[in-house]
Amino acid sequence: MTGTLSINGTELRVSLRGDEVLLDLLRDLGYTEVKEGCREGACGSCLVLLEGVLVNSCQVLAASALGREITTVKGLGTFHQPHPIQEAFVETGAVQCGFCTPGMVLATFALLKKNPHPTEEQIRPALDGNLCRCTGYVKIIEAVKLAAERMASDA
Amino acid sequence: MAEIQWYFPNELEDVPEILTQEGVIPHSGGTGILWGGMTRIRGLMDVSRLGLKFCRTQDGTIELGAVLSYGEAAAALAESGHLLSRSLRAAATEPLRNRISLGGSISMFPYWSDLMGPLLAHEAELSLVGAKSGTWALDEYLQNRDLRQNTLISSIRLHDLPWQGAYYRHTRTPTDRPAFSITVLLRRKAKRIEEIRAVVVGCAGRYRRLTGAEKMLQGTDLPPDPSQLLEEAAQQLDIDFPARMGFSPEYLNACAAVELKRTLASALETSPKSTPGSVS
Repeated sequence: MTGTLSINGTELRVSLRGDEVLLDLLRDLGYTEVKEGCREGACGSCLVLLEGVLVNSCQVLAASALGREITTVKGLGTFHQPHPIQEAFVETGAVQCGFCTPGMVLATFALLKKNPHPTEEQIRPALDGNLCRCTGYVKIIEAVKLAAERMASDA
Repeated sequence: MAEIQWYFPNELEDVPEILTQEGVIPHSGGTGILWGGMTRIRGLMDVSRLGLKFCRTQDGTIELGAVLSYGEAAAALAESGHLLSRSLRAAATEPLRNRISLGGSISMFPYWSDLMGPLLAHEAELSLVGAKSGTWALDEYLQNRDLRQNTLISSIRLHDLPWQGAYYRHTRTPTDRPAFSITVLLRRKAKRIEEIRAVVVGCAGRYRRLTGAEKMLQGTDLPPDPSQLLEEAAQQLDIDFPARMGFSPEYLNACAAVELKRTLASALETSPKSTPGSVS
């Protein structure tokens, strides 16, 4: 089947199988910042925003996303023009191997959009779908707090 | 495997005809379909354009659109402190809660469901579209296979009564699937328990209404220290569990008896407003 997707603001005509998951389609299209982890919706490395809502792309059938807006981590910021959340992750040392980072950044973005001033008790459940095997999460939570401060002062 | 055909209806009236085709099932969030495997599926009917994302409160009834995600339903019911809001917020993880839908979760009914216990305790009703259009009790929908064939759940109705309630999920970690869950709803008049409903999900047969404990407690005047009474009620637990998640049936049975007593006690401690509750 064929249809259109808007990915990071770019409209694309795509061809896909009816049983294909969004993760595979995005990676085939070159969006390799969407990482393949558990493929069970448990690790959060494949997170994207679908119409602004945080979802595991491995748990979304791609056909159901046709005509919808998808944002990957590169839609928030790039190496040369990073988003304040990405800057906060670097500054606090919240990135080690980096595999979980795209998902963590997107989960943080989704949280701060709903709640610009989250407490630590609110940050933890918002990141409950993201696994990190390097940092122990302490630096990641610091990064979320720093990003919240920065984004509040920029607003 | 043959290519899966997708259908994107915009009107509910188009649904029955699509569902008469062999091997076509509704698709909402899709997480249950992926979990169950797609080998027998020939077609998927996407229900996202049918206007089934709503929460209405009218004439003492809460009606939830079946396409609401767990996250959306939890948010819609959060202000009233509804027990269902709290059980849904405990389910899965944030991105999965954004995707798992109420209707899909009812039709799939996995043993770890954090939705079904509260719905069964509320004696929820379902609106169905398709081969068996109409309003049906959730319990009947689960018992009668014909109601589940070629039908779409369009909404879920709950009577909005001033329940006291508590919900317990048996997990190893907070984001784990529960091996079983217990839901207790009760209404009191002073010390007297006027009505009580208790449901276990995850036992053999997927769920069980705990009628033994309900009969024992219904109409009872609570003593100043009800712990002995609750202990006796918990001993009425007569259910079996399959071995799962590394737990033996015997262990799960023992845990369920302990947690039933605690959940009953927890329900008694909540205040009777619009279906409040505690989740542990």
